[in-house]
Amino acid sequence: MGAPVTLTKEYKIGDMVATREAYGQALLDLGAVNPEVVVLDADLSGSTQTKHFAKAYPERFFNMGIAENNMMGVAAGLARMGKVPFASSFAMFAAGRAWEFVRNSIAHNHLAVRVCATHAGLTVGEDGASHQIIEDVALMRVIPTMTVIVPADATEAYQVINTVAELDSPSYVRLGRAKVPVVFGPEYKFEIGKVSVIEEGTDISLIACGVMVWKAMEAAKILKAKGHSVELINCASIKPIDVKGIVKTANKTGRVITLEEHNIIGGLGDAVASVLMENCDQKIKFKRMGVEDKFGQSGDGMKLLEHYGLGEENIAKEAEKLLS
Amino acid sequence: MNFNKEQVEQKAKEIRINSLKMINAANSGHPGGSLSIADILSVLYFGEQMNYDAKNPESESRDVLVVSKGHASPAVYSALGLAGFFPIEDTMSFRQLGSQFQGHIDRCRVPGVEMSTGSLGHGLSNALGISLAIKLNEKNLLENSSDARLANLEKPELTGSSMRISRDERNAAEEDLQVGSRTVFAILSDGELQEGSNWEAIMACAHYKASNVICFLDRNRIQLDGWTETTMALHPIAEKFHAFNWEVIEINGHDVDAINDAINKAKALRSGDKPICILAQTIKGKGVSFMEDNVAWHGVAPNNADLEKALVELK
Repeated sequence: MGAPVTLTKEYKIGDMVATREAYGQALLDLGAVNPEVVVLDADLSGSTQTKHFAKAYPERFFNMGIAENNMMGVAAGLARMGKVPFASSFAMFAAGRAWEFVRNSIAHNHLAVRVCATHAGLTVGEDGASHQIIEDVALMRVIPTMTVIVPADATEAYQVINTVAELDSPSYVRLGRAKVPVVFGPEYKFEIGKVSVIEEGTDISLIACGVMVWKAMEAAKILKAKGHSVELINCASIKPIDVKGIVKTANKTGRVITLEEHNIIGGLGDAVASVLMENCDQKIKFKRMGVEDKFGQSGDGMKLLEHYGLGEENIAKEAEKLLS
Repeated sequence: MNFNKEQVEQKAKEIRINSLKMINAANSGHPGGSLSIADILSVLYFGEQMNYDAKNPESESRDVLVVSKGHASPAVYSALGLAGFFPIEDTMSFRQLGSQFQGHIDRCRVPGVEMSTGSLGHGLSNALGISLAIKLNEKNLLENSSDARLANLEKPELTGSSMRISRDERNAAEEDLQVGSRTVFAILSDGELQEGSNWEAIMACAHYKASNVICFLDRNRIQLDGWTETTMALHPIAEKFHAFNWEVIEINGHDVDAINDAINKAKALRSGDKPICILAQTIKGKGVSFMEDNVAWHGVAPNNADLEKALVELK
């Protein structure tokens, strides 16, 4: 496919960067090396960050207006003719409103459209429940052949975009609105279908995706201070999922908590639960942490995480229950 | 353009006959909407209106046809088989487990099918994407060409007679590069206009000045539950397309001369900036008296006796 991408952007650990910003930067860099890359948006380019690509490559950017179904259908047509389309909107509309177009126009046609959806999860914040999709991972992962990735930070998001650009099958990338700390340095290497072990431990495994990776790291600090040894796992690749990596950590610690800013139904937690049920011979203590099958509400994104039980204090508390 | 009316009418007949045989063999499928587009398909594939290569279905210079009404699969498969994409006899496995001929057209299994459809309201969006890709490629071709006649391509400030001359030269150069030669055809059913996504696509085709899109609207006036006008009224369709900034050419969709003329007219309109709708007035079940205008034959298979009667009428 395209020439190798030159990384023009490195993110420093601790910097506050939204994953959507890394997406915008990655598109800009991809556009420079791969003339087949095209980008579609549905009147949200200023928010999804596709605006940078739009400015640099106006002839390869298609604003489809507030019409997400048509956008996905058009992206499929572009892919059919060999283009490398990225289609963006808020996750609520890309995965929710346009689900059937993603399923039939894109996936059933075996077309490599990269659906890159921003403003996912509770951390959208003030816009409230109408925009806080907590169902998108579930919706996307049930579509046959769909790859589903939830990057943890800007470093990973940037690499994920460059990785899915090379796929010849459809993919969904879940991106956030909120600025979150960069947790991976330049040595980090994202790989589809692989977990990354951030820190090794022996008592309990915290398996997280997206912004919850950072929250898990914070919770691990609390647990360590109390003398527990925590294994921290980033599971950005929700589909395909790293069966070996998950089984390995579960067998090692015997205790697993999954963490996601998504409904506990159908997301990372259920994906990991399936892996454990089918592959672990020994008894594993297991807890899914996420939004417990309820709608969100307006508020500051980080306060919302806390309100719905996804703050580091509560994570540590739940971990201690499993440890007791 | 070499248009052999006799041949086109003969092939339309063969499309109809093979479609009904397929549906009868499968004991399942959609005869009504297959028969209503047989003449349009025949003009496209056998009237030399569509550039395709049955031996090289992905040819870079081909025209593209997106059939949005994917349930008309018997007619599409029959046309492709007759055009040599695969042996026509193979289509008799239609709808059977393991067959390449799925109930609704499937591009991954059948050469010549450009997009898998079946869920209504997708095809025109797909066609627009294909049109945008073709236009991007043509633009690249022009920009990377060393043809001197294209040197002033980026000089819109040229006016008056010098402009006219340069435009002629440029047109000649573009023709040499085959820029603007590819057409994206779409065939939509009338009932599927009730899907809101079609109106998103209709709006977007006009916005992107997709004048290489020629969209047939199969106005057979019947959908699964009954007449379109009692189920969810669509009239007036031409006015709706006009209001969305499309060119509309209205014809009898069973008159192969009229279909051919309409395509020629649509191609001549390509230099404009509007997408073109050929509003084809058709009859659901056309060609078989007991199926014509009869909602009962939307999605019901003819049994052996029905088929026999139908074949007598069609031969």
